[in-house]
Amino acid sequence: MRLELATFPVSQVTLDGSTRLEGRNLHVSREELSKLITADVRLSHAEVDVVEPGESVRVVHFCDAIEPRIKVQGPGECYPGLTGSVETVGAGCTHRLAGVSVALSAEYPVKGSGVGAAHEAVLEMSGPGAVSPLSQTINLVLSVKFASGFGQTEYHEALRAAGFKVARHLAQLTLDKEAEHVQLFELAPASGLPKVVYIHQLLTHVSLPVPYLFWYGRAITDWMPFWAHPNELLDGALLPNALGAYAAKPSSWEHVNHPVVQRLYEQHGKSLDFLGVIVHRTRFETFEEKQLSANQAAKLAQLMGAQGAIITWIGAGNAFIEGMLTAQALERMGIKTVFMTYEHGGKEGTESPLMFSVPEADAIVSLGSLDRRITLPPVDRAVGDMTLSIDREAGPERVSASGELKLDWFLPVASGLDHWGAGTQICTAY
Amino acid sequence: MVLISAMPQLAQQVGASRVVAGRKIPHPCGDPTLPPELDFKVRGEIVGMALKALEENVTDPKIFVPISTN
Repeated sequence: MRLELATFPVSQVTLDGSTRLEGRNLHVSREELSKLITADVRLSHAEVDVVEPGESVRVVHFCDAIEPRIKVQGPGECYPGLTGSVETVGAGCTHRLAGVSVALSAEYPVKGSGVGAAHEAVLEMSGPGAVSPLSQTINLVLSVKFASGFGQTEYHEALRAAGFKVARHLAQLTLDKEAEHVQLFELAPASGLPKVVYIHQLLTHVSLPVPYLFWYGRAITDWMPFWAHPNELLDGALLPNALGAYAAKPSSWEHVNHPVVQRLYEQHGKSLDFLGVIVHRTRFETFEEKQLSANQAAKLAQLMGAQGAIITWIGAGNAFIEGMLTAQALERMGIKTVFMTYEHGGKEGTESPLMFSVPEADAIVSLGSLDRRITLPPVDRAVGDMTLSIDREAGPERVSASGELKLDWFLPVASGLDHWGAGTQICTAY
Repeated sequence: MVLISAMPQLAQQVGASRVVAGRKIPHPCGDPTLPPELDFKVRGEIVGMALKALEENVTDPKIFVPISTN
């Protein structure tokens, strides 16, 4: 499976009369995009804004961000499954607009609670909360209002479809143009080097009206671990929902710009032999299921001939257990394992950093802390709304979207948990 | 003290003295997927085991498994 990824960097986004790409300047027509979005009767209104790195601006009700990508040669389409095609992707040629995202902002009117609820998330473009890779890109923000009379599942479907439709519309602008650079992604034979597998753990739930995760557009439910070619991830076969890109839910943009996959690819044939990705659904509800999924992931790694494994995980607690059990199962097979995780540690950093551990997990990379408080200073402008409610279940009170936000932890901050090592947070021992 | 937990190994690791294995993380003390009368029986077994565990002297964290829970 050989994929050419052709990059068209964007260094400026200008809102004006017509949508076009002139060199690195992406011109966008507000009216055109707005019309595209509101063609769906479930979406009544759409504003289009641009936010830039370093700007004193906050995007509220941040639901997802998408990198414009389009398949120009080879089977299938980028972000497969959304429009029906489930042809296997990862081969041929894909065009991408780099340094820019289509960001979605919308507040779901359905006030849910618990694991299936929409989460408020804020994306900061400057200051201490600008920890996301999307704080470093120009983001074209679509602030969408929902029409009345539909439910959360329909709103979600409409919002997500609108985001990918706009992203595709923009990616199409590259079709007759020459890329600034082209990268080749192929797992060519690399014999003699240590064989390394990436175990990509992602949480979801067995049955929710809006699933957490999609594989070729299909909801991942109680699936056991499966093998994925990293090129499938680059073409967007694995995607999150758009119910709020809070800290425990990396955006679609982050899924196709995955730092662990990128780094393993960089080193493939140089210092290691990258075998591929094991996608491992986590957050099972019994210990036995967690253990089973861990054993199955380790079994796949062994069958692939892995000598080393990197595990990452997503979540706020429950799914951590699978991470540890998988590290244990791998080490017991003689597969050296590195586990990447953030820490707890409490508000002062004095409490236990890990909620569960196994003696075999002897190589852990720390990615920062979830538990610390963070204050987001006031910003010059907010995009998406005038007010927001960080915890909608706590009551109807709302605060100014551009005012100071005192947060009890990093969870509402986009990419506030640096699951894959993309961000800027570090731990310091002192 | 006795702790009913769907993750007994975790409870044991943090040092809970008596741990009773519950059903699932969302519903440790029963099983709403069963018909009500069977769910009631499961709940009785779990709580019954918790009471029994309280009667036992323990020196280290110990896991108690209700008879029909698996």
